[in-house]
Amino acid sequence: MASLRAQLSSLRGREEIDFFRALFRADPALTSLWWALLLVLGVLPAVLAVVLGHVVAAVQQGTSLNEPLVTLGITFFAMQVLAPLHAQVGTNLGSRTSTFLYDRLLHATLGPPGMAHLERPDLMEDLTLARDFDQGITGPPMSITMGFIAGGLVSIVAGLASASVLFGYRWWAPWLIGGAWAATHWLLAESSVWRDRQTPEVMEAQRHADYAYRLAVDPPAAKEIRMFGLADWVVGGFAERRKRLVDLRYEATRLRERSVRWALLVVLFANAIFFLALAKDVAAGTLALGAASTFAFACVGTSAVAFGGLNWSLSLAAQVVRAVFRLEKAMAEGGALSNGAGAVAEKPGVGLRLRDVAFTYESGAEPVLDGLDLEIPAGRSLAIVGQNGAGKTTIAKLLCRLYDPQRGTIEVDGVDLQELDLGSWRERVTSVFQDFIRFELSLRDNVAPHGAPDDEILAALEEAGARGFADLDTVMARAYPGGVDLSGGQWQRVALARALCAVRQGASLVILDEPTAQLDVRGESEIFERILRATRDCTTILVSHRFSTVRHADRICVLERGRVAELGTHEELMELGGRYRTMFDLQASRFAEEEEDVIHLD
Amino acid sequence: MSSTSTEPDLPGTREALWRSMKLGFRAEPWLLMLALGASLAAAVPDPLIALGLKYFAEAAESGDRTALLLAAVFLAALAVGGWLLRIAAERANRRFADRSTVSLESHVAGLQASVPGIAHHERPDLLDRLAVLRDQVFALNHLYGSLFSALAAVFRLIVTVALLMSVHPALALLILFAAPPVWTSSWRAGKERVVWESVAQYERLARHLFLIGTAASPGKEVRTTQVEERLIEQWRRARDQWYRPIARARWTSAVCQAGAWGIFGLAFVGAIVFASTGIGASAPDVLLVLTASSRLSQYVGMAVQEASFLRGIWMDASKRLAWLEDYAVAQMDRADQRAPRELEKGFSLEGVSFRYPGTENWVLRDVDLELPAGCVVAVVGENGAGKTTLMKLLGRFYEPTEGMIRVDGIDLGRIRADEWREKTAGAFQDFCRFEYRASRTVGLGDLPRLDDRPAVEQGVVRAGADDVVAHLVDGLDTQLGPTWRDGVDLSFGQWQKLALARGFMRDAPLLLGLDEPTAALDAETEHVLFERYADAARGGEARGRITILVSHRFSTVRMADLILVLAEGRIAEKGSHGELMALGGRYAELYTIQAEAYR
Repeated sequence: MASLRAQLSSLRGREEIDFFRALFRADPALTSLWWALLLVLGVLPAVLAVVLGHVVAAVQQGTSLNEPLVTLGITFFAMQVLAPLHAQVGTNLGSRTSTFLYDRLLHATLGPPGMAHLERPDLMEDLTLARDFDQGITGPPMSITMGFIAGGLVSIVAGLASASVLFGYRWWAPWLIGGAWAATHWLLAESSVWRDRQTPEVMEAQRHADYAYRLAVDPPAAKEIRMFGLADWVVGGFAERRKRLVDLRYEATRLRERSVRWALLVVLFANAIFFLALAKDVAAGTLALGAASTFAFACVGTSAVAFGGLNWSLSLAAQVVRAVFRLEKAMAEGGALSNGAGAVAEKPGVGLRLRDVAFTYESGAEPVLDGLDLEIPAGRSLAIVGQNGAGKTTIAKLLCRLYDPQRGTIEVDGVDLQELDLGSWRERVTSVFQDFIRFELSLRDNVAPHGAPDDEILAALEEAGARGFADLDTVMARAYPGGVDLSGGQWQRVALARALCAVRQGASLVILDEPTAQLDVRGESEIFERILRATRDCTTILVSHRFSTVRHADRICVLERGRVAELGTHEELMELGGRYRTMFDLQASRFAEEEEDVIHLD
Repeated sequence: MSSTSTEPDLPGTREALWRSMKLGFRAEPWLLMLALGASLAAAVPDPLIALGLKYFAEAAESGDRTALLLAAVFLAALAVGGWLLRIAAERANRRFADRSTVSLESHVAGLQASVPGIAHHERPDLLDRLAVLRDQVFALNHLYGSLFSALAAVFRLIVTVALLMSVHPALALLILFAAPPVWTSSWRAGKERVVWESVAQYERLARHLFLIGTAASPGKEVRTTQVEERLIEQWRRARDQWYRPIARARWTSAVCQAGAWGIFGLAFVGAIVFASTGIGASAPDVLLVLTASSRLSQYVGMAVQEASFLRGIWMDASKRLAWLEDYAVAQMDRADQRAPRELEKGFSLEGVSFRYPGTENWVLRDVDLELPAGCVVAVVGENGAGKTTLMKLLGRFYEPTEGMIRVDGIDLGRIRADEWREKTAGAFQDFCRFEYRASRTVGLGDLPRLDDRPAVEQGVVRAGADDVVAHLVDGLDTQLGPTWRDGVDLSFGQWQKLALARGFMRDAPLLLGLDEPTAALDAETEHVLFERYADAARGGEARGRITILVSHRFSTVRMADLILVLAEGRIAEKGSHGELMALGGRYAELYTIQAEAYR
């Protein structure tokens, strides 16, 4: 009992306790039922030992068997019936718990208004664990883990219950037998847990192995794995890493001969003393056969203490809970943005002004924007061009207020963006990024995630040139019944329709980050006319490297090394003869050449 | 052992199990025997405890002190021996499972990665079928342990039944009452699997929404469109639609199993009544019957649980693995031709039609086409016209549904895929972001020269990705991917350039496929790359290389020797830029639209 108390108190500070708390929060009713059944199932073998003694006694003494047999029947019947019920309660509780943890994680990631928390390298390990724990890659899914955990706990309870039956024999018996079996845990402790499992090296190796495995079996790399003949290389790398991990664990948790010998000695000694004492008492006639049977049966049953305990899968599950809780805290801080109270005027366009803006990503060393000054008049369109990495997308993100700049301010109609109410600001903004979301939902939900009248949705689709791809109710992925897959270009039109639908619903700043990169030529020129028409009253910001698209904008800004290098209309910039001119001419020259100037390839 | 699977062409249980056992044996023969032997040995002491108790009771009744002492020692030895052997068996099993899993996982991954086609990565029914193997690798890990435990439980059952029969042969009938639980468990496992598959789509949707909600890249749009709440709500609904039917099926299973076990419980009481009053057995015999038959249900329970694990998950994985092996073999077996060393004539497509398996729409229809060796081909057309599919067919990721593609007269479908792939190179618009050190990310394009720095640098230069590398903290030694230690993230365009560099690693491919490789690149890069195409094409002419470029950019397209205009799965126009302009058809129209933009 002392060892139990010690174990309990050491348990209190451990992460396992968080897991059990999480269970309860996931589903209090199911968890209570799970615990109740677990305790009953644990106690029943001890009850059986007692009843068994009564039956034997009645047979031996020839007294009535009715009462002992009925008790025996009830006990045994309960054992049989409750076990499968408990197993299924555990399975469902496992699923409920992963739902709970997923739910918490979703709130942690989606809750903060900023973005930085999703990109912090130091949170990635926890995030990966919390995102994938139920996929069965790093361990069994929660629904199965629960069975393992229950098994260990039922054993412990059964062993302790059996031990307490021995109190009926001699005061020392439960301590001796229970203590001996409990001691095996302590004696073999070094080989039961892999202490280095959590070291960065091991975790990193594990992630490398998993990554290689995913490359081999998941779709994204499929084509290139084949084209470049990478199958053996990827699989070989995986096997080698995994084998090393397995061997590391084996070395660390191998049974040591010395500790096995000690454990064997202890349990052998305890059991020998007990059974010899029992034999002596029976021979002396001080102990009846019925009682002796009960104690012998219970003594054997106590060995369950050695097999029970906290299952290895519990510590895995507990880590997940810890990770989710840690993420909740860290993400709330990391993604926090101050919220102002200022309302945004309900009008078609907003005027924007960036003053001396500087921004560096947390994961990057160099500033992306540095001393950027830019004015974007209300209701006009501005195109931002520049080389890869010049900071084009970052401006778009800052205007959506996904981050706050480290220096400088962004003003909306003269008011600092940080002083505006973030929710109402974002209601005024709509954006299409290069890596826009492809919801595996109906076309309707893709165009109007918040819902909109069908005619608005159809009109937005029409404007984006996306009419006739599918019914509004068709799911946009072939992996669902009745679903269809769209090509990259078709998806881009759907994404544009999403933005145009938002414009119809009152957005006044439209940010388009490479909106036509995957559209075909006819689509591109046609769509851009349409977009400009549909967003005529809005302030429109277009990030692109296609000059044929860019020139339609009211003003063009050439971005270089985080600053504005050139700014003006197409004509003005052509006149200027600077960077813009050079880049435009390069692209135009492909078309301007006469037939005889075409580069011959041979 | 009959299976109620809805997928009739999964291999049978026995065959799958046998094949999995052979795999395990091949991977770790000694460990397998050790684990099996230890499992069986560990099964011995526990059923004998009933016997020990009987001896003890007999000795007590007769008052034979020596016999009593011996019985006590026997019982103590059984208790301790059972523990010791069980620990040994656990260790042996774990070691075997660990080692064999690595082999099995490699096998599974290898099969999926090396099947020539990619249908199993794109077809929903095949994706579903492989999901278990893809995501629940641990299932195979438990297969053997489960099987050995089941065998051990059966072994215990035999010993226990023998003990019961030593009291009275009729007591053996008790085992018959274990039939309902056994049957129920197999019946319910099948039912649960059917439910599981019927709601797989909701699980997939929930996962999809969950990943949108927890990843950085979609986070931008999620926030600007403010769909956070809605996303959670939709996720919850999908998760619920997945969970409810499954939970209901599980509850039904639980009640059925409880009922079936209840029957056994009653039979147990019957057996005790029979022994104690029916045949008037002695107290030691009643003790034996009590102990043995109470353990009987434990052993049946163990066997049933292991069997249901086996049947429900482990066995399912084993069957899927066997199916995957068959699938891989079926995909491989037609290939008996060597890939040509160089192209003399080129490709010819003869009446090629294609639709994705399981769909109705023809993506390509009756395409007849000659692509002469050494030719630079550009493919243009509206979205969904079949451009990417044409590339997939030439890359041998799919086989034509009808018709045939010939490479210098040889049916492409009969050319060994691995050899063919050594002769191809290219880049796709949906490239993969290989998160390794930059040099590897590029070097993967020509595996033998993976760590050949000059070759990698050459690939980088060919793709105009020097500026990407120049911006990296440690140049080519920089770890890519923000989730790795010291890993950096790249923009889409930067990733694309590295993908292109990878595509340009091979020096002399016969087919260079470029499927919109520059869509995200800026003006200057495009200009530079334009020249690379020309160089690459020239460099390949010695071997008759065919370059195929899918693009929307007519500035790039016009340099091709042969331009194919695809429309609704057919070749609408083909010819050189000059010819097509003179034709005044679709191409001329599209070209003019784009050129106008620069006037």
